[in-house]
Amino acid sequence: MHLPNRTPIQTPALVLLALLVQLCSGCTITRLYGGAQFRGDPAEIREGQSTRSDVLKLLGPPDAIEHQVWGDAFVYRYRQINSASITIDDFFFTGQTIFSFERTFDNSDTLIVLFDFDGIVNGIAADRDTDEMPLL
Amino acid sequence: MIHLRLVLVLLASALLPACFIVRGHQDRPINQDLIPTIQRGVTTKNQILEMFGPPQAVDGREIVAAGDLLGVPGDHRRVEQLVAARYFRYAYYRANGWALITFVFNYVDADIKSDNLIIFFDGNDLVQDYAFAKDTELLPRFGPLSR
Repeated sequence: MHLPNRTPIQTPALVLLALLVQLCSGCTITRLYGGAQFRGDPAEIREGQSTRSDVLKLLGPPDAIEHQVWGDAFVYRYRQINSASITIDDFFFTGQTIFSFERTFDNSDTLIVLFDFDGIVNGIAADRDTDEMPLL
Repeated sequence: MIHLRLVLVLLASALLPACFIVRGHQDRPINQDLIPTIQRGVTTKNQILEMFGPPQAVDGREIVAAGDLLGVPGDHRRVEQLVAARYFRYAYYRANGWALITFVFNYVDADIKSDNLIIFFDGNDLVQDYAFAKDTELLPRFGPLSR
């Protein structure tokens, strides 16, 4: 059988194409966001002094209000999901996935403000986990 | 040379991107013009219902300690009881999504935000507190390019 002669450029290009086809739908990056970041600085809230009205003015409406035996709790949450995956499929010969890797980070900035029965803040906790998320 | 052109055409076709833009809306926008007319201690629950219609959430629970109310000394058991609505929550959700799909690389970006109005009432059905946040204005319109 006679094989056509190929120039030095054609051969690597064909190899590259073959590799790209082999790596079909290879890499996926996903970013999902839910809610809004804190609208004010939680450090301005003072335990034993700030009222429910102060908290509403500073941070706006909470995402959730929980009931506890000593009073209400306001929950503010901003959620971010970063996901990256790579898949290598063999479409031609076996039709199977040769390699798959996925990594997902589901982090939230969470702020909880506890009130007593009189609507005075008696506890606060804040966590900013979205700052620690890797880019990929 | 024909082979090289064919390779380039195939390569370009393989990498051709498809772009998806998604917009989602849930419930109806909150009428912002009415919010400044709410007055603490004056506006009633019925007036709120007339202004904004039925809320998405109503909470009618309250934790009480009967012993505390009666002034009985000691650590009292807290109980939950149903009361008149303590707060109304109005919400309007929007979602903006964006995706770039190619043969070898995909990027997906989606964001959900909401406008929220929460109104607390006292025992006389008068507005005690309220707060409004228009977070849908923060939605990126072109994915990471406008974030």
